[in-house]
Amino acid sequence: MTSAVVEREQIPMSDIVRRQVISWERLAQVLLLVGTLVIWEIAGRRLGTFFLAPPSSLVTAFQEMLVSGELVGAVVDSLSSLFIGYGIAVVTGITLGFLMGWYGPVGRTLNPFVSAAYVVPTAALVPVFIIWFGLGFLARTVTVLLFCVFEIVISTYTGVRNVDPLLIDAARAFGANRRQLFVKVVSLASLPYIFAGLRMGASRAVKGMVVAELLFAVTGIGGVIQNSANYYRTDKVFVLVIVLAVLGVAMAALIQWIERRVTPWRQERGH
Amino acid sequence: MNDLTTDAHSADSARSRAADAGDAIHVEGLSKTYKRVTGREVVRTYALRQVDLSVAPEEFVALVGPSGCGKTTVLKIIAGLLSPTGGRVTVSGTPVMGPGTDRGVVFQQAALMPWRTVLDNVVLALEFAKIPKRERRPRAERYLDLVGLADFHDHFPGELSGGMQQRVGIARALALEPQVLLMDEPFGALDAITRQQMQLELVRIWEHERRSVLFVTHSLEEALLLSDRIVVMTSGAIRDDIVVDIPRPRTRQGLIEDPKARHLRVTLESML
Repeated sequence: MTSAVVEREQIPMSDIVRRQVISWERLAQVLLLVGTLVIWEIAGRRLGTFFLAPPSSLVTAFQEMLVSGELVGAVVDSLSSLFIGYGIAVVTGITLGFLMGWYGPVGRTLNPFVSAAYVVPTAALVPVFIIWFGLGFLARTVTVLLFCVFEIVISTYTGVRNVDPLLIDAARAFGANRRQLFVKVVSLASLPYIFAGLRMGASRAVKGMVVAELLFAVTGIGGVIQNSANYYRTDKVFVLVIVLAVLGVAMAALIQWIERRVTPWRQERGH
Repeated sequence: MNDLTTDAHSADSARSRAADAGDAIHVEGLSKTYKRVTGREVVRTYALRQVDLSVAPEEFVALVGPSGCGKTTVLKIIAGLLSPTGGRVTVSGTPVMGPGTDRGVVFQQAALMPWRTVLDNVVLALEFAKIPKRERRPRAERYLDLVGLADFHDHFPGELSGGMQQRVGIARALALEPQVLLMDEPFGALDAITRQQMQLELVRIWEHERRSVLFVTHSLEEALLLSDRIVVMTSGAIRDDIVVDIPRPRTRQGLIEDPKARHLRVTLESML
């Protein structure tokens, strides 16, 4: 009888530290980071804060914006339209993708339209949204939605169409009906594609949010960036760009965390 | 559809069994044609032509032939996963209209749901087969134990070797407790050593759980080792039908030493 041979061995802490912290790649990364910061600092001091704010000035700018409430207000403003727009995109995108993938005629009919909508530069439409929805929350949410929804539709659609036909045959052979086939096989088998779409959609949603705010120039992180640039406050601009980067990374990490929770079997796989 | 044409080629067939409701699997005049329209042409591919085949209760029949000869198509039609262009298929006297729980299918790859544990995969199949809920778990456990996976109920398929995954596939088919087992090159994807182990294991299981088996393979050695009868297929038609009268238990060594087995092998090889 075959049985797997499993052996466990404790790795000494010193080895972990050595492997994780001290490596040539790690050293090169630190040097690269420090080098960039040093060059930036020198260049910033020579060229003047209004032209290129040096990294040392960013801390003060960050504190200033935090105390004045400018930063928190902008982030809350941005996040509300980001989360609502992205949330609606997730629900409608996955639903539409499933409909298109599961009902062949629906998919074949809508596919050219979705593909066309995906490649339309949504940013160019933002002025029209302002005409339709004004300068408020609604226009920004619609922008975020349209920036990311097609990414999610297409990934879900692709996911459903790429389900291993063998799994479907197996389920059918054992007597699965159409509903069971979808709920117990197809929807789960397409999860990896769906999560890929959610991750790419999230980064597009952040882009959409900033583009809308820059064009509106009144609210959110993008609005404050525009304002700060108008007053040559490059220090504030850099602080906000870093905030945006952190936001994007946090969102990606959150989605990855959910993905690990929802699809645990994908980590269990041996190599 | 083509019920009356069987006489024409029954001469090709070594056996002269009449249409018999007592057969576990009975296939008569089966044909499958694929039609493809390219430009102004209609291309017809005859995947199967007038295939007659039967498997008696508790008989182990191997269907051998080169790849592309249509043996998997025959199996898929009997499984109800594919509809024939013409002909008749009955399983235990009931015409096949689609997939059904009277037939357990083992695929070339194990075809397990990667998001479900080994046990849950078998339970899911039983759920699809409309087995009452409280029977599913004990049944799944029993058949997983039978195929030697007692310690792996909670593993995910991705954590198992190819051979172990295929055992799950076999347990899943057996758990239906079907009259017939349809196996489509179940060991084709395994390495030679695992394959030999699995063949012996299958014989052990089959002797324990007597079912009618239709076993598709392209390995003559495998067919000689396992089956009561070998049906040879080439290019979409039955070429011959040979009874394997080598006493069981058979061993690989025995197949080499026994002159009758060697003779059978030579005969088969000359046909392919």
